This record gives sequence, C-alpha cells and structure tokens, in this order.
Amino acid sequence: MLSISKNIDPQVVVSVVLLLKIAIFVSIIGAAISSRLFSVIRFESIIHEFDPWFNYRATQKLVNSSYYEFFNWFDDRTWYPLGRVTGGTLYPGLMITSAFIWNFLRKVLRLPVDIRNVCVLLAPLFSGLTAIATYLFTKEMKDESAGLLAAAFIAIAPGYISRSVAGSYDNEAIAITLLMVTFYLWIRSMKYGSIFWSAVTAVFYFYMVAAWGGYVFITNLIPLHVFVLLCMGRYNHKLYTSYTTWYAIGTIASMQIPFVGFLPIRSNDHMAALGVFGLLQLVAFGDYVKSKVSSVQFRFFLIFSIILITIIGIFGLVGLTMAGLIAPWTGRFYSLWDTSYAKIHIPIIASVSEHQPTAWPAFFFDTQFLIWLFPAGIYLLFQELKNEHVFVIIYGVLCSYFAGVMVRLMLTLTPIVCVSAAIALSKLFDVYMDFSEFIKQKSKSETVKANSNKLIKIVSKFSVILTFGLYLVYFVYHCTWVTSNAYSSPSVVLASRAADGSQQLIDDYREAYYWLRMNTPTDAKIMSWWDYGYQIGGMADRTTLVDNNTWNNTHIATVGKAMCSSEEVSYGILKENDVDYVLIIFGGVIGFSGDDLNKFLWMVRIAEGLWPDEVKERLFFTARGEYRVDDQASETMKNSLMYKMSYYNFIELYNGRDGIDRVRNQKLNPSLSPELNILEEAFTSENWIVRIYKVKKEDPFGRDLKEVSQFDKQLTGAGRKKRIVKKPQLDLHI
Amino acid sequence: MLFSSLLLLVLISLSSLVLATSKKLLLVHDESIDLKSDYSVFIGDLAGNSNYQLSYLNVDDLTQLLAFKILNENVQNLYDNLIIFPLQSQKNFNRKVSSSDLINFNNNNGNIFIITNDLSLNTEVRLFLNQLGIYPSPKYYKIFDHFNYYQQENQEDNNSEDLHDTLKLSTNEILNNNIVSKIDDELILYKGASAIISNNELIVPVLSSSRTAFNFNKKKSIDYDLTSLSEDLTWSLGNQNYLIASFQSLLNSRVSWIGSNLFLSNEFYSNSKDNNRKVVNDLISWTFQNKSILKIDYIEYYKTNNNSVNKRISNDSFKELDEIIYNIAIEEFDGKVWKPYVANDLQLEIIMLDPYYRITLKPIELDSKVLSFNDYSSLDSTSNLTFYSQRFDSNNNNLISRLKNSGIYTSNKVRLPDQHGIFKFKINYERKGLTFLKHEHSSIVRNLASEEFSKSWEISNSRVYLTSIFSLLFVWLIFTNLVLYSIKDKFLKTKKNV
Repeated sequence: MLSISKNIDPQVVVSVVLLLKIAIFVSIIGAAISSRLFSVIRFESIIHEFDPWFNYRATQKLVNSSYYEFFNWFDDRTWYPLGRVTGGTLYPGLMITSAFIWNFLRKVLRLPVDIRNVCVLLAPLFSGLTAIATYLFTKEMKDESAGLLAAAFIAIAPGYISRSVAGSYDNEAIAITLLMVTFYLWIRSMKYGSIFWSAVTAVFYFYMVAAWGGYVFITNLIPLHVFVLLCMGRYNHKLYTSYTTWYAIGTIASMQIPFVGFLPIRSNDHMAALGVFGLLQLVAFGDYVKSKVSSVQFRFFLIFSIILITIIGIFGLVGLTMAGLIAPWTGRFYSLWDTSYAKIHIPIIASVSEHQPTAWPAFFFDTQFLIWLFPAGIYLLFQELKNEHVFVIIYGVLCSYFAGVMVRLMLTLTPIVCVSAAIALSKLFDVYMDFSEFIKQKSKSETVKANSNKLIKIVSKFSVILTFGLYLVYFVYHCTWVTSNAYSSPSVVLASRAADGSQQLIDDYREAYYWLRMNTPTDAKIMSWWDYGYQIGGMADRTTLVDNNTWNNTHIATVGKAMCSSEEVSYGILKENDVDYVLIIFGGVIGFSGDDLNKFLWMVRIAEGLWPDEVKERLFFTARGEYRVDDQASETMKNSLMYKMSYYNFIELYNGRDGIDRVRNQKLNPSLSPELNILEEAFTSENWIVRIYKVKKEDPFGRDLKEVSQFDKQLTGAGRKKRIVKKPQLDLHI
Repeated sequence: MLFSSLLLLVLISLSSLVLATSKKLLLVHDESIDLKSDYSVFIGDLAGNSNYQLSYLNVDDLTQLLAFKILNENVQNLYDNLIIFPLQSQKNFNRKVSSSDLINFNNNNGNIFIITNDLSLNTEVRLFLNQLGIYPSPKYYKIFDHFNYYQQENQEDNNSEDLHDTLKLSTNEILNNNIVSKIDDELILYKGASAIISNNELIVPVLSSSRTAFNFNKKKSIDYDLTSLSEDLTWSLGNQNYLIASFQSLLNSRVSWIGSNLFLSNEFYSNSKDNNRKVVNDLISWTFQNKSILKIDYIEYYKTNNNSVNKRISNDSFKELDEIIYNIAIEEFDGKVWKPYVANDLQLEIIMLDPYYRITLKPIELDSKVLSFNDYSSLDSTSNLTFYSQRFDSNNNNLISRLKNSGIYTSNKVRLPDQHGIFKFKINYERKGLTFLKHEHSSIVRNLASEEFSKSWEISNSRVYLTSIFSLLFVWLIFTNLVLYSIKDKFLKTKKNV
C-alpha cells in the first residue's frame, strides 16, 4: 500500500494506519464483550453453573476480610465435618484479580460497584485482553494482518466463549488470557534471548499458576519446545538464557502458591521442565567442549555422555518415584493417555461430564471453518519453520490430541486454532488481495492478451476473496448463533418454550435454595450429591457434606452410599454425619434429564469402590441388565433411598392413574409408591426439580422409625383394636 | 414479734414453694378396686407427699369421664403424672385415651405409673406398653411358684397348687438400685401377672421372679384338663418373668409398670413387713422424677493459652494442637436435696467422624485453677470461638455460689489432635435408672496459618541446610569477587590474546 502513495506524506499514512488499527481493536473488543452478554440480557446478572459459585463465595470472603484471612481460610461450612483448608487448596488468582478491580473501582474511581457485577463481567473483560494477546502472539509468528485476524477470531470463537460468557466466573476466564500472554512473552524472550523478557514471562507464568491448574500445560509446553529445538540442532545462547531465566524464576515463584507448594520439584507432571533445564546445561557444556576439541573426539564424547545421561535419567526417575520422593502421576494425567482409564479406576473423575472424550462434531461446533484452516496454517508454518513456528506446531499437535480426549481441553485448543487459521488466511489474503501489479501496470501500455490475462487474474482473485469473505460472514453468524443458543444459559435458571412459543423460565433451583436460606437453621447440614455443593454454599449459605471440589473420595462415597442404600443403613450414615436435610434433583415431572436418578449409577459406582461388599452395581439393574425405575425395577433399586426420595408422593400426582416419568419414559403404577420412614418431605419446588427432605429425629422410645410409622398406620387403619393378645417372639432379655 | 412474723414469712414462702413445685397427679381407677379400704396406706402415702397434687378419676363414673382428657387440643399435657390402676371394662377409658395419647403424654415429659393384673389388661395400655417393649401377660395368665410361695398362717389347705400364686421374693431380685434402694430385710410379696420384656436398652427391669416361677394360663388348663406346661399355656418362665419394669425414654420421661395391684394393698404391705411399701414408694418417686435425677449445671471448655489467639484472624477459633480444658458441673437429686453427683465413669468424647479422644473426667474442687472463672469472666462466650461456656439454669446469681452444690469434673489439659475439622465435644452419660445426660457442642479446629509453623531456625534438623545455604552464598561471593577484581586483568589479557 505504501508504494502506491508516494505523493502522500508518510507521516499521514502512519497515523491513518494507527487510527485504523485502533478502530479495529475497539470493534474486536466490543464484539468480544457484547457477544458474551446474552445471558445477562436474557436472564440477569447472575453467577452461572457450579464452580463459579465457589469462586464467587471465595471472592466475597476476600473482599470482606483481609488477604491474610483469605489465605489462611479454614472453611467450616463445606465438607462437614472435615472442613476444607480453602485458603491452601484454591488458585487465588481469579479472586485476587476481581478483588483488585473492585477495590480500584471503589477506592480510586469511587464507583460503588457490587462485587457480584465485577465477578459476572470479569470474563468478558478478559476476553478483550485475550484478543490483544493473541494479536501480539500471532504478530510474532507472521505479521500484523495475521495478528488482527487471529484477534478477531479468538474474540468470537465459540470454543473460548463457552467458558467466558458473562457470569461464567471460573478460573479459565482469566487463564486463557494469561496463557496467551505468557506464550507471547516466551516467544519474544526466546527470539531475542533477553533476560528482561524471560523474567516478565516468568512473572506472567506465576500469575497463571496462581489462576488455574492448567498451568501445567505451560510447564510442559515450553520445555518441549526447547527440547524439540535442541533435537533439531538449533541450540543457541539465546535459548539458554531465556529458558534458564524463565525456569529458575518461574519455578520459585510458582512454589509460593500454597496449593502448588513443592509440586514443581516433586510431581512427575513437572519433571519435564526440570529435565530440560538439566539437559540445557549439558548441551551448553557440550557446546563449550565442542569449541575446544576436535570433531572426532567430540563425537565420542557426545555418544558416551548421551548414553550415560539416558541411563541415569531413567533410573533416577524410576527410583525416585518408587521411593516416593516424586509424586506418582495423577489420575487426570493417566486419563489423558488412556481414555478408559478413569472409567475403570477412578469413577469420580469419569463421572464429570467435561472429562468425557469429545464428540467429533464438537470441533466444528466450537471453531467452525477455522478447524479446516488450522492444518493449512500448520502446513504453511512448516514451510518456513522458524524457532517460534515450531512452538505453534507443537502446541497445535499436542492440543488436538488432548482436546480429543477431554471435552474441557477444547478450550486450550481454540487459541492455537485461531492463530494457525489466521496465519493461513492472511497468507491467502496476502496473495489474493495484492492488486498492486494492476495498479502499477496502468501507467504502461499493454497488449490485449495481457489484458485478458489480467482479467482472469482479477476474476480469480475476486472469487477467492469473495468465497472467503462469505466464510467469514458465516463464521460470525455461526459464532453468534452458538453463543446465543448453547453457551449462554446460566444453568441455574433454565429456559423453555411454552406451547405458544413464549419463553418460560424454570427457576426451581433458586426457589429451593431460597427456601433453605429462609426456613432452615443457619447451622443446618444439607446432604446432596456433590454437584450441588457449591450452589448450596453460595446461594443457600448452608453447610454441605460434599461439593464440587472433589478432594475427598471417601466422603463422597459415604454420601453415595447413603443415597443408594436401604433406609436403615442410610439412617445410620445420616445420623453419623449430623445431616438435617437431604436435597435431591428430580426431573421426572417436567422431563429435566440432568437429575440425580440419571447420575445415580455414578453414586453407586463410587460407593462400590469403597464398600464392594455392601454396594453392588449389578443389583441396581434388572435381570436383563436394564436400568429401570418402573415395576420391573430390581428390589435393590426400589429400596434405595434415592429411588424412594425421587418418587415419594410422585404417583399420587396422577390421581390413581399410572405415573409417568418423563425423563426415563417409564410408567409407574400406584402400587410402587414408596414409603419413607426416616425422612419427611420438607419442600418440593414448583416443577419438582428440587426436592428437600428433613431427617426425622430418633424415636424417644428407642423403636426404629419403621416400627413407628407402622404403629401410626395401625392406629388410623382398620382393625386397630386387637383384642387377641399373641405372645411376642422375642429373644431372651439379657 | 419480729422473729415470729419473719418465721411466718418464711413458712409462707416455703409453702408457696411447695405449691409451685407440686406436680399434678391423676389416679385412674374403676369400681373393681376399693381404694379407700384396701389401698389406704398407698393412697395415704401419695396424699401425704407434698410433691403431688392428687386427683382421682373413676372411669365407671360417666359424669366424671365426660370431661376427662389427659391432653388438650394442642397436644399439651393437662397433668404431670398419671397412675393407672387395672381397668376391667375396656370401653370407658379407651374411648377417651388411646395408646398414642399415652405416647404423646410421655413425650411431653409426662410420667406414667401403670398397674395391671391377671384379670384386667386394658388394650390401649397394653399397646402402649408393647411399644416400649414390655409385654404383660394377658387375662387369666398368672404367675405361680411351687417352691417360694407365701403361705398365710390361717390358711388350711396349704398343699393346693392353686394357692401357690403369692410369690415370696427375696430383695436380691431387685435389679436396679438407682430405682429401688437396697432393703436389708428379705421379704417381698407379689401376686399377679408378669411380663416378657424386649432388649430395648431403655427398659430397666426392676424385679424379676425366682428361677422356679412360671406364668401359666390357669383357666385354659382347666378347660382342657391339662396338667403339664406347654408352650401355648405359658407366657414366660423363670428369670424371664419380669414383675416390675421401668422405662426411661430418650427425653428422660419415665414409665413404670407393675403386674400386681395387690402388691400395693394394705394386706401385702403388712404381710411383707412394709417391704412392699418401701419398694412402691421408691418406684413412685423414681417414676415421677423425684429421685435419681441428674442435671448438668454448667459446661465450659476453652483454650488454655489465650495469648496464642491469632489476632490477624477475626474471631479466631481453636487450631490444631491447641491445649484445651473441659469442665462440667453435675448435680444429683436423691429425693430430698440436690447434692454433688459422684461418679468415676464420666467420659468426654472429642469426635470428628470418629472419636479422637475418650477421656474419663476427674473430680475437682470449686477453687481449682482449671476452672475459668477468674481469667475468662470478661469474655463473651457467645461470640468467642476459643471459649465456650453454658449455664443451664435461669437465675442469674453468681456462678461460683451456684456451683457449690455440684460435682465438678475436669478433663485437665488436653492437646487437640493434629487434625483440622469440626469437632464435637460430647458428653453422653447413660446409666440405667439415672437421667440421661447428653450434651454436644461443635467447635472449629482450624489448620495452622501460614506463619504459625515453627521457623526454620527453630528446628534443629534444618540447621544443616541453613549452614550449607549460607556457606554456599558466602563462597560464591568470594569467588565472584576474586574473578571480578583480582584476576580481572589477566583474564582480560588472555581473552584479548585469543
């Protein structure tokens, strides 16, 4: 462009370009933020889903008390009676960020903002910053135009929006921003071998460690990048400077987070970084030796030392792991390599839907046409293959695998897909949008043949540009559609359509949590499956037994056992844990499929893991191996507390006709109506989604509660006057 | 003059005190029993006791029965105590009182003393007793003993087996001394029904028969001309014949059952040389909660070193390995006065899922140092998580003078376990015949805060590492200085040469 405007002052050109760039950035950030506001506009400014409720509660704690108290927070209202050392088991980055923003708004700008609104809008705000970071990162790879494209893509790509809509106040909301910033800084420091940039990289790495457990991805990706470069024979002093600086500062900094602690030197997940650090020293030494000795001697030296190092490394790793000095690989790590590992060994990990393998359409759903530009971009990077391009290639390859294994890792794949696609697309545009030759040739006289040739060229260029322009337009449509339909539901409030097409909100969760808040004593202990722990803590402000921070499998299994055992067994567990209320989710009335009966098998499996003699998954199926709740259901199923709680008084709803469970599409005849002796119904929400039961007190006469209700029934039923006295069959009194 | 008026005042206040504490007692009977002549001593004992405000109900008197209720419409008790004599007619009483009424009455802290015999067992009363786990033998079943029977002097045919129904029991058969105190003299007389009792832990058997007694349906055996015992004709045998059984519910309300009305009669009283009377009076005063009553007056537990409370944490709680002291004061009512309760088996449990401690509490004096009165009196126990104290009386007089009558027990210093969580401090003192003492309070035991761990230089093992770190630093400084300053010129020169 600059070549055609020789008669224009270059100063003007620079400022026009700057203006354009600013305009583009403002609109990209605007698009990024506004497309994430669907849920706020449709519902209200509300925290979404499950984990964000904990983060919100933790932020409130931070805002209402000192930082010291937050860091040493012992939470007595979760995991009763174990409690949770919350300050030492969370990633504080998110809470500190929003508390910082809140304090800034209140104390510097004097804006009386509610902390909830800061939390709700934090993710959209950071998505704008992600766009800028992606721009910078891509600029390092190719040029500014690719950077702008990448920024535009990441701003609206559904794969990223899925975790960063307004209200989705989760660690990932800021972590993706930090991921891109750290990678950008790493590329910069590696390129220039600058200690300053490496130190800045380490600082952002520290921020990332403070924010998200996914920091391990960086901890492994950067060493892998260095390792690949070493294997490619691209060792230089810049690489040495930048890596060692980053590793030393970053590791020590990351150990300051209490939850991470000594993991960076003990956990296997972090060993690659340490190994590469050591390797780099050896390579640097080898490089020095090489400059001093002859090539034949050096070859001998090289072979010998490589063999030695490999042997020492392998034996060291195995030995230290066996000695217990290095923590063994975590279950989540294993399930990355073997998708069926979790299903067999750790039901608690497998039970989380976001740990399931991704379905193929999800890739298209989350990234649309970027997914097929992504390999093209990788191919183009292979053509050039600079050091930084190797980074993108490794990132792309690794993440495509991980995203295929676990749904939630789609999130880390999305940025690199955007970058790579942007590189491909900008290369394409570089070629097809370059009309300079036509403008140049205008001044010269040309033949007719050349003219027609030019026409074909113009047509072909325009057709390509238009095609891709159309793709881009469709991409925007797709992203908006996906965001609006799939990712903007708070899942605390459900939306459905009435028969006339008008929208109806199903607000059972909040109704029930509000009931708990208003009608139960403040120290009441609520038992529910762990999915609802954070929400009960956040919305109802009551003590829970287990929650979404699934750190204690035994306690979760205890709750699972209480849910799937018979009443007599359950009552013992409930009393042992001082449970006052039991909360379950039941979707049978309105057809809400995410209810507890559908999750029930996970409770059974987790309980079976601990008590294989008392809980057996097989017994919950019919003889033909079906999962049924109707009259063919197995006896164990019908006797389980969860079954009884779900269908208690349910069939009475149908006035003597068969009750219809609309989730499982099975008919329950009135004879199945369960009898509850140890619990009494306390609350059932409008659409029956949430049902709360109160645990009955022990009988003062020492009878078990089944006898009590039988006695009460006798009094009201016929034939209560038993004149004939039968001798009771009792054991001898001792 | 002044003195006498003062005395009058004291007397008036005393009598009002008696009135205030006297409990409403209702005696239910029917016309089959002549209370006035046959039970005059028993009635006299009751009427003479200022603890009770006695009233009667004759269920055969329909005008009296019409207005009769034991519970009002809000299921509250209209009486404190109830005595039910054997009722021969089923319908009159049953129309007004059902077994669940009796259950509710008992759950509202009403006490019931039930008397049945071998000829009348009211259905509602029976259903009520069955719920407790007491199964009295039905009509016509009667207890006999051919070895230890009582024989009146003027009786002629002392070999007739039919007459071996007055049991001569030794006082050794009395099974619980918290209910009926020891009687030195041997003889107790009993005639009537017996019961089978279940293994419900809340039942306290008071009297069982000797091994040779058996409960036998006399009428049936005559009809069928059977002479030997068989399973259908016997109700209970030997030691399993329970003659008096008491029951204390988890809410501490009490029930007693006795299978013989004659046991209370003037005749038996005199024939047993007033031993029966002693048993009955003990039983009545236990049942109506005038005896063997325990009461917690005061409980406290606190952190011994109040200075180690972390001031940077608002409202700090206990933390791991804190030293605490637990104290409890208990009083006993023996029927006359409140006095310190003496025991050596009082235990404190500190529980989080499982008991971490089970400590037998030791008795101490009121002036003992472990009591917190002096050091902690200014602390507000409702908001302080490291100091819990609870009084169980309503009057606000000085705590120390209040506790003069109590037995005070302490755990001495206890170091909390190396485990954070919500710990329950639990007293669960359940002894047969005594009021159940149950108290539970949860306290937070937090983990150590970031700077509460011991510092590295305080741990002797770490000094090796500290030394190596600092010596390395020192040597490194020397080395770099050497490189930078002393060898500098030479180093540069060689570099230039290369």
